[in-house]
Amino acid sequence: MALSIQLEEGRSFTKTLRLTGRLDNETAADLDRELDAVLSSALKVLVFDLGGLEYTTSAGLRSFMRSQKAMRAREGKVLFVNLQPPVQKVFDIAKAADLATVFRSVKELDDYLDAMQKKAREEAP
Amino acid sequence: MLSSDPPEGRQELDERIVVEDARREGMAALNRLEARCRVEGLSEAVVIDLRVVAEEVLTNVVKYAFEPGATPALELCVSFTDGAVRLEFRDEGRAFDPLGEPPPDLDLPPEQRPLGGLGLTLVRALVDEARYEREEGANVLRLVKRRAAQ
Repeated sequence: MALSIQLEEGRSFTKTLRLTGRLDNETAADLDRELDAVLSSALKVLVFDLGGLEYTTSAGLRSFMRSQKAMRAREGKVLFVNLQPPVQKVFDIAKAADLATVFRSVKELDDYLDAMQKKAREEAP
Repeated sequence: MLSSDPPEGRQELDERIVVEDARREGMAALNRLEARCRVEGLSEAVVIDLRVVAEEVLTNVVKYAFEPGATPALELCVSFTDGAVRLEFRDEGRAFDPLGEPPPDLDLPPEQRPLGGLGLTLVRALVDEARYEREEGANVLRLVKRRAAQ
């Protein structure tokens, strides 16, 4: 069962990986390769849009944790949006993400990112 | 008693999936398990949970019950009762009790935790019963998942 990974760039220093399919032992390796490329670029916010993700195993959680560690090291953030019930369940069990980093909809996420950018502009010297 | 009306808990159907090399055939075995679960009319949520659980068990057997050079062979039996699905994993690797592994500290923020250790946490959480036994040189893990989605 394949995983499709789409990279989208909208806002500055923000990238979105849209995952569709299944995240398991085999496909997590594909995601890790994509992450190597994405994480080597200048980036403040990495978004995972999981609206099309059927499920994830611990292999997928490991890839997410790797991203969280890498982004944390550069004082950036990993955000998640559109978790479907089987993915939400696994996230809850493993406490895979801080609740403040999980958004129910793209609208909710956009509002948050807007507020974040506004704050950054105001704080800029 | 009518044969069309089996008592609760009676084992109705069995499928035995022999995996000669879990590194190469693991995915095929999981696909077969999933297909069989769908034929049984389990809910989508239960099918997905069982698929995830089985992958985690296979991954751990390959990793811990066999030396790097050895071929990780195992057998997976699935049986369906009125109320539940039973999975039995059996391998002749070195003794390894997956349920005896200490769970990772989930209260640490994800970015501060060591990677890994989550697979067996998922297994424990996604099934209703789990039992490990070492039987005549074999690791035997028996899991029960109720049909009604939690």
